[in-house]
Amino acid sequence: MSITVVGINHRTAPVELRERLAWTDAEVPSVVGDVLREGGGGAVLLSTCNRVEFYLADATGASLRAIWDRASQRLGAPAEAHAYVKQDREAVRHLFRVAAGLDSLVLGESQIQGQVRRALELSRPHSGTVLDRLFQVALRAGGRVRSETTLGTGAASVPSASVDLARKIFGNLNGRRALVLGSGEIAELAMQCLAAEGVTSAMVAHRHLDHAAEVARRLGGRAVTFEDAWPLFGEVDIVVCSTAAPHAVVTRDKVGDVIERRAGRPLCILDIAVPRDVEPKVGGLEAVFLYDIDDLQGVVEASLSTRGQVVPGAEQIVAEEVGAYWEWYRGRRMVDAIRALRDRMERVRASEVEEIMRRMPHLDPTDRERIERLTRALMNKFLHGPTEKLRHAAGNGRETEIAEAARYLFALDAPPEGEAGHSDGDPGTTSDEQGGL
Amino acid sequence: MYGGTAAAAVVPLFPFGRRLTVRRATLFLAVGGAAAHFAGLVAFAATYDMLPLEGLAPTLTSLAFMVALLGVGALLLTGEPSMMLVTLPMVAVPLVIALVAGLDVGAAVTSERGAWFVLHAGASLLGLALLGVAFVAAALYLGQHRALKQRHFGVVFRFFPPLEQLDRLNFHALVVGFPVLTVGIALAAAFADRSRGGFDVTAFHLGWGLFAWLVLGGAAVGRALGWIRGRLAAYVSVSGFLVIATLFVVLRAVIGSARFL
Repeated sequence: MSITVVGINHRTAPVELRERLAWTDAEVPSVVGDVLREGGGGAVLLSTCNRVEFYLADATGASLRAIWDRASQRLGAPAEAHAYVKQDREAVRHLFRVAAGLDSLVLGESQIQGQVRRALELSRPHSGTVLDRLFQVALRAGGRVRSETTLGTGAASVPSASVDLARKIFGNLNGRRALVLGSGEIAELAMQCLAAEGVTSAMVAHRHLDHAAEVARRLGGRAVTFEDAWPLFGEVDIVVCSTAAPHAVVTRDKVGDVIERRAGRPLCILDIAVPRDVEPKVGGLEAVFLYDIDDLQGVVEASLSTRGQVVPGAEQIVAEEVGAYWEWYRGRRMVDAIRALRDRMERVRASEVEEIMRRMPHLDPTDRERIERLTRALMNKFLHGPTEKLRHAAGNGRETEIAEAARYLFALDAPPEGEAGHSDGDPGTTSDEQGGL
Repeated sequence: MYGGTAAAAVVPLFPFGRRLTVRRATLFLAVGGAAAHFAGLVAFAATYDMLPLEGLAPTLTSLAFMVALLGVGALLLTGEPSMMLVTLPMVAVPLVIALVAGLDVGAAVTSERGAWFVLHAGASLLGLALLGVAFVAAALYLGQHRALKQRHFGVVFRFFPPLEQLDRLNFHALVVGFPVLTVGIALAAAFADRSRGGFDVTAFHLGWGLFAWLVLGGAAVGRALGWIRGRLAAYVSVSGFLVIATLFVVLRAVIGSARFL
């Protein structure tokens, strides 16, 4: 029994290779199914823009070869040169670190949590119990890291920095009103971010009012002209500026009086245009919080630097969750071995009893029942000791070798056919002796 | 436990802290501290057969308890351990003074007071404690405002609550605190009028009480009518509280009585 991860990521392969190897959501179930057909107890494929990883339970040589073949075929070159392979506890720790965002390109980014969940959903028919639980616990570990540490807090991009800043002024943004100056791609993105936070926006356009109206309608806002926009500085809570104007369009002369009539109500102005749209003097007005693109970048840098400092705490949580999962997995390996042993012995017993019944057709139902009970009792007595020893071995750290030894000694991995046939000629069995009953 | 709460509240300022654990620890310790504080007040009441509303030390201890209780409420409301950073010194200072002064009530006035006195003292202390909460919110507001205006995206930016949340807390503390203090003072005035001399009022008692009422009233009315808000309201709250507290300490030092007022 084993857990294996085979993959490439942003550290081992450049983006040109990663994008060639990435499997789409639609492809994942069939790829995982193909690999699993070559052997193994379960498979999950995690395919994102920064990593492609196959997680396998009880991987066989054939299933690993199938992965290498498919990956190399897609790359047009041997995939092994860019890949890593981790096994058992290391593989578990790897996935947990991935889910926590500790292995991400942007440390602590939260998107990976959803991608790990999606990978499990897409691979679900082939994941099996071991990987199913592995991914569930990985998601729990990721959730704990995000809620118990500050790894996921703070902005990791300019749009999220904008939202962070606005939240630090207003708290919950739901129900707030915003004005977006500009109707280009960045202005549209800003409006989307605000709409996602429950902010109602008006988009201000100079030339492309039709386009602005269409975008605003789609995002639940409205479009206005610049001439109509200035009075709105007295009403809205957030202003996002992203015009292509070569000079400042928001000046103290234009909005100063309107803003002063706000009576101290805060106004957050996010100027993400280059060159800047807002005259710096506007930031000097009472209760105006003005930020340009450099400030937003500063928020991102401060946040990423802080994230790096909380890594030890996050690693500690990952280690705790790896320990918990490994405990379960160890126990499960032993349970599997015990179950296999009992199944094997039961099959032997049943076939031997059947043989006896065939040789002694004169036995009445009561005697037949006695023989059944006797053989079952004997089997239980013989297996009681080994079963107990195996159970105890799950907690002593030597479970792998003991489970393997049990599998070898009792031939638990051998195919079940021919057990009755072997027993006929096997001097160690009791069929002949029992035949004299 | 209050010391532990302060230590837990400081932890988020350093990046190694576990957020959830710190929040829980701060809340647990703060609630534990307030519970122990309450048990102490109950023990006092049982020992001396009087409520801890008379004498300098018992009254300061009760005031500190109310501030702690309101601080726990603010912590629950905002979920930010930083609320306790400013609350705890306001709990610790009166407690330390009370412990230094000694809880012995021998010198305290213990004339027959009745229910009116409990209501008067309780409402007045609660009003003052709410003024303290308004001060806490205002102090944090000014810190966050400064960080946002000057674009310092460090620990204050990250761990202090949002400006509007602090402004609302300041608003509610003042707007609720003023009527409560008014009730406290009105009860005293009504009783003084009825009992004709039963109400032992010193110039300090009357002067300081009315001064606090005027300051709190000015701030509360200004806020309720929308004349002041945001940074101005924060400045008014902080300076008003500091003036009231300083005046109390100075006058107490000059008069040197064993009574709270």
